[in-house]
Amino acid sequence: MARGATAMVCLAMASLYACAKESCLDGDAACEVASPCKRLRFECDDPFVGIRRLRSGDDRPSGSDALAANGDYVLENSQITAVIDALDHPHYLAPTGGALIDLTRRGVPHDGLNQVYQASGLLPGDAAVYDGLRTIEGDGFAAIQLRGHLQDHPDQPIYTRYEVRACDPGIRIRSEAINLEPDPAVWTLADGWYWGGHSQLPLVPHRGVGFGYPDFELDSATDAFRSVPYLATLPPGDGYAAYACVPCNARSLSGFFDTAISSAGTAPRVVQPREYVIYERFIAVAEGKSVAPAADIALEARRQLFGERWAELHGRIAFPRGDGEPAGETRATVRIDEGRRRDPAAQRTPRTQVTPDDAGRFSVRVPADRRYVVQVDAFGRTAASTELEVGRGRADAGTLELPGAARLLLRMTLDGSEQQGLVLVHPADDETEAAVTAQRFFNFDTCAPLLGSSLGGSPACNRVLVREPVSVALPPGRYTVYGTMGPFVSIARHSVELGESEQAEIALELTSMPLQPAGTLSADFHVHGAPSFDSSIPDLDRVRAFLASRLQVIAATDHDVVHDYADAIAELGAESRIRLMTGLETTGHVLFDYVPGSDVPQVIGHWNFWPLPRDAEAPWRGAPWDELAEPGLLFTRVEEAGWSADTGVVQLNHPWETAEFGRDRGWAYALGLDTRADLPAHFDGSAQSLFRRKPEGAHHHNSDYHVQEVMNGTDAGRFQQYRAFWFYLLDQGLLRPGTANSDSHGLADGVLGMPRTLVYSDTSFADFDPELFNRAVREGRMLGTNGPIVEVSTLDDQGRRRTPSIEAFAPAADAVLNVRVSAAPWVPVAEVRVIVNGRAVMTLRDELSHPADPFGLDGVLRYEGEIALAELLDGVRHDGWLVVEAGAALMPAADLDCDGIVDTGDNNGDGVIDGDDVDVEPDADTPAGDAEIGSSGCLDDVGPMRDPPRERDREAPLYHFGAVVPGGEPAAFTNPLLFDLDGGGFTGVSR
Amino acid sequence: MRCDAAALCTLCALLLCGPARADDAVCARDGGMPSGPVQSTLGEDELGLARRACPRSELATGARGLLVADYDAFYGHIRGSGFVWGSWAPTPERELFFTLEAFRYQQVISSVVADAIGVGRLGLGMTQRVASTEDATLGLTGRLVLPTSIGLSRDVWPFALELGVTGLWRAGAFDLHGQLGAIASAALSRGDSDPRAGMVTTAGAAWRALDWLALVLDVHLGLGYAAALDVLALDPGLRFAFGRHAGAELSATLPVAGRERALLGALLRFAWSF
Repeated sequence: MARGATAMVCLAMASLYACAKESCLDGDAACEVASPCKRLRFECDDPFVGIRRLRSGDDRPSGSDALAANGDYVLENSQITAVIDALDHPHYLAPTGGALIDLTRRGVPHDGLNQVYQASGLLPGDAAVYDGLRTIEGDGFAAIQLRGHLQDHPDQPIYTRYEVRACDPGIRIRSEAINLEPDPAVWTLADGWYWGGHSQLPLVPHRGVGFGYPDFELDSATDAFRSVPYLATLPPGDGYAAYACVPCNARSLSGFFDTAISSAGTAPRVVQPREYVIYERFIAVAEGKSVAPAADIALEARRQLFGERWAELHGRIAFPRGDGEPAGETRATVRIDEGRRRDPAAQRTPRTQVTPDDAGRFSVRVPADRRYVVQVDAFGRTAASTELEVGRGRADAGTLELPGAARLLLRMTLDGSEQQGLVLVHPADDETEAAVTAQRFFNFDTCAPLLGSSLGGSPACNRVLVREPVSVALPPGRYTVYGTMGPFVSIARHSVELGESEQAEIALELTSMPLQPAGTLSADFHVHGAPSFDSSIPDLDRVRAFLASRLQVIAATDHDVVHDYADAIAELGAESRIRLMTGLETTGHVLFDYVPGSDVPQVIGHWNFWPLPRDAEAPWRGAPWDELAEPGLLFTRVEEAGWSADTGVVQLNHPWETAEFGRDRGWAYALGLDTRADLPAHFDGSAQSLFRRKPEGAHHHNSDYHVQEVMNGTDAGRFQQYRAFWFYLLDQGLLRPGTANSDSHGLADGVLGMPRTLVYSDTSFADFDPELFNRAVREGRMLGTNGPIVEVSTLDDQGRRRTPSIEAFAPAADAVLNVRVSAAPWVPVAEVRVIVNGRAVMTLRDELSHPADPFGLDGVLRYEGEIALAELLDGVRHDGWLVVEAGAALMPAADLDCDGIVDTGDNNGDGVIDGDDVDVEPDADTPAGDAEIGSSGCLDDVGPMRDPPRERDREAPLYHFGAVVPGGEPAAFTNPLLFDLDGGGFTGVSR
Repeated sequence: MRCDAAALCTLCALLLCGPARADDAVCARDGGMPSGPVQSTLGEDELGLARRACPRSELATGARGLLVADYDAFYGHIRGSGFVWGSWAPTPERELFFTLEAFRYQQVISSVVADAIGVGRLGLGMTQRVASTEDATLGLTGRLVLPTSIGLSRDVWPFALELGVTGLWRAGAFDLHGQLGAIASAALSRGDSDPRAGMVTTAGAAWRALDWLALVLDVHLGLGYAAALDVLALDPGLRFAFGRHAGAELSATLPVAGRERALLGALLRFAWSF
């Protein structure tokens, strides 16, 4: 009887348990997701809270990463403003809207979020697809509730509620998903934080991590997971918010962390059929230049949620007299790790980071009752530290003395007047280099010296934008200071030795040279600024960099959004000095199956479009959604957004670029083309034939782009690969002119305008006509260069002078090729190559002259001569093409995977390129010689290409070039001269 | 769920009506040789696994494995379970049985990998022969799977019910066996209880090649539980008899069509019959 009663009670309890349904997990269409983080309560004077849908003219959050558009939803209170994108406005990695795209303190223009979206794993099919949205308002709160499912799993519903309560310094989120499939799943129900690679830097409070994240690949992602009490971010620079995330329904959040993307949510676990997972979190936003303002909120949230005490730790940094403040993050920043000073970094737990105020004071919250190491970094290196026990009260770390910094006052003139230029500071000896080489918090560029965050404005890394005199702090040492203003201006150099608290004034006087060919405009068709998800350079410094490069025409091609830099241009009064065409770089994020035979879903790489109208209030600022479309369909979408396929330009970017984070960056490489085989004219089901396919619903073929990048940035290896692909297309009779662009994302990567494209157009800078200019671009009347200027011409059979373009002609019987190569004295030109039908038929070395003084003005002309065309075209019977290149000799490379494109260098330096070179990181200091191609058969894994060895002789011409074009070697190319020798038009070259 | 309750009542009514006349010849034991359908299965909780028609008292232990490798979906699933089976035949017509998944280890592989280990679920059931001839017998079988898993499911208590008609026709060294049944499952949960029901049928033959060796091949069909066609599978097996009481089965389940993603299920089972 008793057993029966017990059973009845158990049954009743189970029934009650089952009847009390949790939130929306029972699938009720009218359900309401439970309010998240109920134990959190913040106080303030103004209890305002609201929700609205953005309409034209409405106030909206602003900042470099702000994406809010008409139709999006704003949740706000008196403290913060958050934006959830409308379902039909998806951004970046999310397949639909419903993601958090902007989050700012109310009224502060500092949005630094690209996107926070929900997923259950790392695969595209794990992302949440939302198809329903409702707004909810109640007493003291406003919320948005989303309904959907995991992308590849219709039977795995997911619900998310974003909620803002009065006085919250952030947004509460609850996501819940249930596995109604018959198979177990493995889930980490999480937010994907898309940082983009050059933006917010997440601090991971886990032993041995902090800012030093474990490396991982897709197949080892689980090993990279760490459980942490909170996540907090370091903003990339001034004008950006800091963020923190605290789990509410679990003591820790679990995820992997990286500068490109982080996942933070529930720990990965097997989710049995019918099981569900709930993830509640609070995302805080704070104003400040450090992790601490956001981490402080996170610790207060944990106190309320879990009763964890925090204590205040404060201290002071003492700067030596004469140090020349103000300070800043690079001069002095404080990292606070839980642990002991004697512990190696791998055993400490980084907790927070703060940049002291101008008086050197700092104050942060840390978990109470623990021991901490407080260490001060100056110029990226530890300069002072202390250790203390922190109880529950206020703890004083005391005063930490910093060694003195040196200071440079920089001036720059061009032809005697102050002009915008770029200064690069380099160590003058190995000892200084060893002493000052550093990274910002172990990430991003390695700089010597580190003058400022490589992500932000000037000074960045070792570079400074200078117009009026600029003062910069730097660590003591011996330095060489270079000034540059692009390839048509001399460079200046000064050496200086500075001790602690010493200051020097340097005036860099540059002189312009008549190097730019008459009738050309100097252009860069691939530049990024802060609106790009992977850039954080402020608009003002971006425009200053435009000016310093002395480019004349810029195509602003930010990733996925149209931006015009108009405010910055106006503020700097630069309207008369640059011609900017608004454009776009479409950047595939959402993987899909389109390549026949591919084992993995892919994207279509990156494409630039210009000019394109900008709409400041529209999604993507006027650009179309660029996901899940083959190129031909993408062209059609951009056309519908206002780009003209008749007068505008679409450019194939870095065609042979590898994938990054599983996202293809180069269309040709993504297809896995075999350039030893012909391109089919029609789609036959093969990946090779996809190149020219016309996708369903498209007005264009995939191959209907106008130009391709032959040079992108300064990477010599990529230049070899891109040109090889370009040559292949010329051979195929697919005529797409070549361009040269910097693809600059900031001040610390490639120097803007290096390389650049010189366009022979029928318009002038003064009366710039974009249509005429772009027509010349489409016709290929241009050359690409990062220094050398190559001018070629010949005569056709009508006696007319012909210069490179994609217009074919029959050459005169006795025609000669006129070649003129010039360059500024600081640009060494080692050889001139004449390439016919993909083969170097002539290489000029001894015939070249070399200037005596790289810092002078003489010796500009390196070669001028005539070469009989018949000699060059010997053996060419039907059609032919000719390209001239100038610059450094190409590094030996071989095609080891048998696709016709070189992929591997002599990385082990044994004089043979074979399988032994694969995955070998070459020693940058080892001289490279000639190399034979070994017989390895066709390999699956290949690369890397070998970069030219670093020039160690600080007086060598190549060293000076590398000092102002970091990572580069001189290179230039012409567009082709197309010879129609058989009178049948140029149809390509028989391979 | 109402349908399931009705089916349960029907089964109870049949059982209460009393056994049909049993002919011991058809269910005569061949020493320790296992009988009836192959005991390998793909489903959790033995749901849909056909039951032998002839009662016997037996204690058995063994292990099951499952392998799913869906490359296109970037999904893998490995499951290994240790079982204890027991049955008691109080009369030649009736068998009471239980199945305890004593432990289960699962690893699910996708972009992230996780594993789970815990006690699986307990099934309790009964088979009642309802008709017999000299060569054949027909029985009703039913089983209830109780939500006893610990460590595998959080906040969710799945249970299941299975009803079927099982039969055996013996012809010399050959046995033909089969089962037609219905399965249903749901969960006590604060989320969707997700009730599911489907039909399963198994048909196969065993050939006693030697006194100590039998070969068996079944065809298993599942309909309507998770898809219109859940699975069409072949179940080959080897059976061994070790003297009068001991027996073993080594068998596999190989899906050939349907929604089922598994590549393979396998079983190794040792039994001692009394």
